[in-house]
Amino acid sequence: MVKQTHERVVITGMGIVCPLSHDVETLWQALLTGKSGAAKTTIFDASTFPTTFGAEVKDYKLAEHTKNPQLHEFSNRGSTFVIGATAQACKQAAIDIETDQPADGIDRTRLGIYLGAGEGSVDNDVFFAAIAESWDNESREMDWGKWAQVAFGRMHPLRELEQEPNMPAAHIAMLTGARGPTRSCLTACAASTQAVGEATMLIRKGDADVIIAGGAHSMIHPLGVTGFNRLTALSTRNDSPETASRPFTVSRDGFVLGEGAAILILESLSSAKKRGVEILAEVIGYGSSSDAFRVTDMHEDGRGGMQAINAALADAGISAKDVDYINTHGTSTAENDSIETKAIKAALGEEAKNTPVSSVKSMLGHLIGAAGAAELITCVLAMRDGVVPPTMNLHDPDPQLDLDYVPNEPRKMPVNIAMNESFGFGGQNNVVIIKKWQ
Amino acid sequence: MWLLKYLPNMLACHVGIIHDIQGPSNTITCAEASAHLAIAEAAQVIGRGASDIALAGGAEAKVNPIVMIRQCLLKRATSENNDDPASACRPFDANARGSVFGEAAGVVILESLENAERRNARIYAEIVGIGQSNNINPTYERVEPDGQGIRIAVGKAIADAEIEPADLDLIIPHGTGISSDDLAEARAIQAALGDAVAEVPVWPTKSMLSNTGAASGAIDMIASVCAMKEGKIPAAINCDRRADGCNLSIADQTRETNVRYALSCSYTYGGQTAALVLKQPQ
Repeated sequence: MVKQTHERVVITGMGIVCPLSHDVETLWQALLTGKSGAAKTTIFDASTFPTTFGAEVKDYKLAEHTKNPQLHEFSNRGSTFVIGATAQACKQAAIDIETDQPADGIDRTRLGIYLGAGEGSVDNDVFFAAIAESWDNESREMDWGKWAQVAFGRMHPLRELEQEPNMPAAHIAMLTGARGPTRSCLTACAASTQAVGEATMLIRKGDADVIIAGGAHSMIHPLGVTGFNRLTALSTRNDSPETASRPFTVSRDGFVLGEGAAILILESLSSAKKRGVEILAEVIGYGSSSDAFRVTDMHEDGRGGMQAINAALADAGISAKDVDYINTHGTSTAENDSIETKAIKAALGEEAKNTPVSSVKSMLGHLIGAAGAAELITCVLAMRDGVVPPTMNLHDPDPQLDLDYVPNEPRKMPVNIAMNESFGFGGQNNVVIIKKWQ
Repeated sequence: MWLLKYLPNMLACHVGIIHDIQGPSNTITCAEASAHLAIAEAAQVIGRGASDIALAGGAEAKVNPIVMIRQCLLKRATSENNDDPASACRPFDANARGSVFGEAAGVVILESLENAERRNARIYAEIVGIGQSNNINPTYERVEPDGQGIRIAVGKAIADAEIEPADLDLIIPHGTGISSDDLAEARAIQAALGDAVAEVPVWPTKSMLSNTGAASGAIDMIASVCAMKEGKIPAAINCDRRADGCNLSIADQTRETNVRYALSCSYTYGGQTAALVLKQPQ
């Protein structure tokens, strides 16, 4: 039997490393002034790829975020980013890091981690050189005997280990000493919203007092871009990276691949009160569903998204009219934006047209595993400042899509309850609802 | 489409498509601790009423050149028993030299008691205790020597089950055959169980199954249920002489016994750790 308690769950810290900033406030100003994180790809030479641009994290230096950079020397890009995001979030939430004697009032066995995190990139030069040297051109097959000799001699054990998707969580544990429930999930583009939702449930149930939750991912590498280009999921508007992500327009042609890490400190209300930390918002609802339709496509009537939204509303105990703002998945692909619109209308009914919905992916790009957590942070800020971030590049609206997408200009309006939606390949749908703390 | 072959959530999505499963779905990517964590989460999803039934478990197919190189580089795979593979995986044995990597899938159907009773479904066991923690080690390809994270998870699972260590009739450890990890796990189980450790049979299934990675926790849950159902703990193999510091009561002889409570646990490089307690149905 699974015992249930009724702990309320609040957000007490946030941190981000993303294409637009290495901190939360700079990101927020960028989103309110319509800046784009997209530019020509510099991580590798993408000039002959169908897509030659992306939303890269720029000028990030790990040593600015940790006292012990040597501990994280072999990290994949996602882990490197998550160390910075965790350090910021812990600072805001008054959680001591990089110490054997934390004095923050948190029992380490009740401090958990829940990430939606991606795998690291392969160690490209070593990996492909080993393959090239082991390829038998006569038989047109790999010579695995030779592979073992070549690869074993060249590959670095820890660089290989760091490609595993559970490694960002390992780095957070080293940073914070967390000994509570720790999980990492990878439900494609919906992963970090799922991580925040499930972490909320662990605290609500009483399994942990505080959970460091969020996401970390980078797929801006040759294999990642090849893969998304083969799926024709990426925009190929190479002559205008900044306007390429244009959700809900008639000219949208795919998403802009981004990277980064976003962390929220989730805490039981009683722990936050006991520790006297500032409460940024309350997590009041979470819903998860599956399309069970196709691995590549969403069900055309939006039933999966609708079910997740309905489940989250029911969990929060609110109705459609209570939702002031929806931060959409809004990827700028033909399929997502149209089916997401259907899902919102199916779930919210008549209220859908009165509810402002926007996509910050128009500026931030798509952070894949980290996207949902990054976007949830923007929901908290929208509440705090009473202003909703815009959907940029929305100059030629798709006539089939008829919601209020907050085009091109931020909108001042009170936000008491905000909903964050994330949908992933395979039909993974996750929705989290937060409420202003008053 | 090849990118999708690498997305870990595709396994669950294919199962979902085959059986039209539209409820919550998650894919835990915590390497060798994945299945236990997935089963723990699925139990909690049912517990909070978000679904009535869940398919939970793990799958792994990593017997391929690229992954095997990785396990060899990390010195996790044994390389000294190539001429006698069946004897190669030796959890808790003095001659353990590393793990043997296998492939498998294991799935359990979890269901709310109410739903199972309404359907008149046969009940094989009840999940009564869940413990989760984290190993922290600067050299994170190995478990910390004192196994503190495992001790915390095992202790939490026993406390969550509201039983005493002596109530356990079976422990299936992670026991990979990597001697430093096995020693850490032995220390952790010894610390968590106290004096009771002398009496509780410990059955390292990987001695026979090999290390099936993300699937291993699910298979160990199934093995626990089989032991409960049959009233029998089969003998583990390849533990002829216990390693120094391992004071576990390794089940090296088949024994007939009533298994009321069984604990199984897993941990992984990178730290994630889980332990679950199953109870025999009344």
